[in-house]
Amino acid sequence: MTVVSLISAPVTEVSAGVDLLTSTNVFVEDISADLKPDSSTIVRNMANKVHGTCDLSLQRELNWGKDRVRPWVEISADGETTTRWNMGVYAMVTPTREAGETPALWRVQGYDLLTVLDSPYGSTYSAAAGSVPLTLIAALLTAAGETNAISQAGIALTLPAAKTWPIDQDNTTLLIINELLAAIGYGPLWCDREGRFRSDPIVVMASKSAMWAYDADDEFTTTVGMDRSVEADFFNTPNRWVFIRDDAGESVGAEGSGIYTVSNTSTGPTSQAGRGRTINKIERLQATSQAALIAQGNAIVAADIRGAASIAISVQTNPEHWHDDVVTYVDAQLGVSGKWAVAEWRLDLGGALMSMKLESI
Amino acid sequence: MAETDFTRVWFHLASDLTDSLELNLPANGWTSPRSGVGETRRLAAGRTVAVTRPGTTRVASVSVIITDRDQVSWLEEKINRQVLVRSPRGHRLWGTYQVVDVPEPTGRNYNAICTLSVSEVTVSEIV
Repeated sequence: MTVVSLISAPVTEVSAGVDLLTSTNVFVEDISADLKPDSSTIVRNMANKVHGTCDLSLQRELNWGKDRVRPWVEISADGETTTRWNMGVYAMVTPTREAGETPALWRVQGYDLLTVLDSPYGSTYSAAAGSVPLTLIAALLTAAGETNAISQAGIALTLPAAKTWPIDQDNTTLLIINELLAAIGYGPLWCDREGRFRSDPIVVMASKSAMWAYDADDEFTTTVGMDRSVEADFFNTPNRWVFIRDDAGESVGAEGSGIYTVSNTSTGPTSQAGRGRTINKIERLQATSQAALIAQGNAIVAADIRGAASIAISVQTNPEHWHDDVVTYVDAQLGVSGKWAVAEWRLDLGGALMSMKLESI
Repeated sequence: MAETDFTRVWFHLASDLTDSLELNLPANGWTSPRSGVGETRRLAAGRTVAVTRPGTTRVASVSVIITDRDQVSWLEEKINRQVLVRSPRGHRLWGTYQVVDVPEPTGRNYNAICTLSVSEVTVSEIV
């Protein structure tokens, strides 16, 4: 049985559990018996600085500031096929216990491991001209004790000029890494299902393959719930973007050499033709090359256009979703069809419908 | 003439099995259905699917005949405690109950029927 037929089967059994891990992601114990799945959720929002969060109800006190947990979901269809998905590694931060509950119950929110890097670097960080951003990032992750699974496709790229992040509350390790990644045309850091850190060269969402096909009109195989809505948002969506390469010591260049301009003249309702006017957005970006500037610029353009139309849907539990997914969605009642980016999903460990926010691409 | 078949049911406190209570059970006084957990869900385009959760639950409905005040006190003291209930046919059920509701007798004899809902809990009986 394929994963598609498993998740869209007419009778499915959803079970969930939690693994307890050490602060270095080493498995300690399966504590699923202490989890209350009905009041536990996993949420992933691609626009947040720390993408993944979880809300768990646990009947066990953990070493909250240190222990990590790895929730998992298992689905079987009619008792035959069982597949398990790990749903990320989380640091537990805000346990709440109410008086009078026996056995004691802790409701705790956890953040994915990006939160480990989201604290001030603690001293001035300097990157010399000619240094390799991916090597610098590897050293930062090693120092933090985390696992580096970043694509090494850009290992030959170097910084054209020295760059310094002075000691400051806002200059976090995560910010330094993300700015180094952006400089070579990589997307922001994210964590995979096993708590490893990943990033890849930016690919425009529209050119990505869809990882799932949702069809609200198929009465035999649909996994889409009854409640769904579409929303358009035209507020200040730009239709002309000017990206300027912002490297210290370099003067503002010209189009094609330090400047990259994108105009949406006629595509979609937010285009210059659609709005009847031009709405500019000017952004300075750090980039090692014109190609990296273009890659970052295209990602910003795609994100701005994405937000102009969104769909809120609920679907059967689908733990195949993870980060920056693209899906196809067909819905005659909403009058939509095509590829959409998954901006946010919320998975209920108790098997309730999974809510998703899709954005147009 | 209708005939009532009385038989016995035994309650034991799980933490001290010698602390027990023997009560009369009216005919058909014990039912213990086992239930699966899940729901049938309506999706878009009119499709219906069933989503279930692992495991099953059992809640026994045990009606007992109360003949004196001490029996009520024993049952009330064991609310939310883990108990072992044994049926006349040898059925053993480890569980707990939350409500003891005994009507006050109106006649000369204390002979009231009390129905307890005993929710089964998983217990290892390895010895």
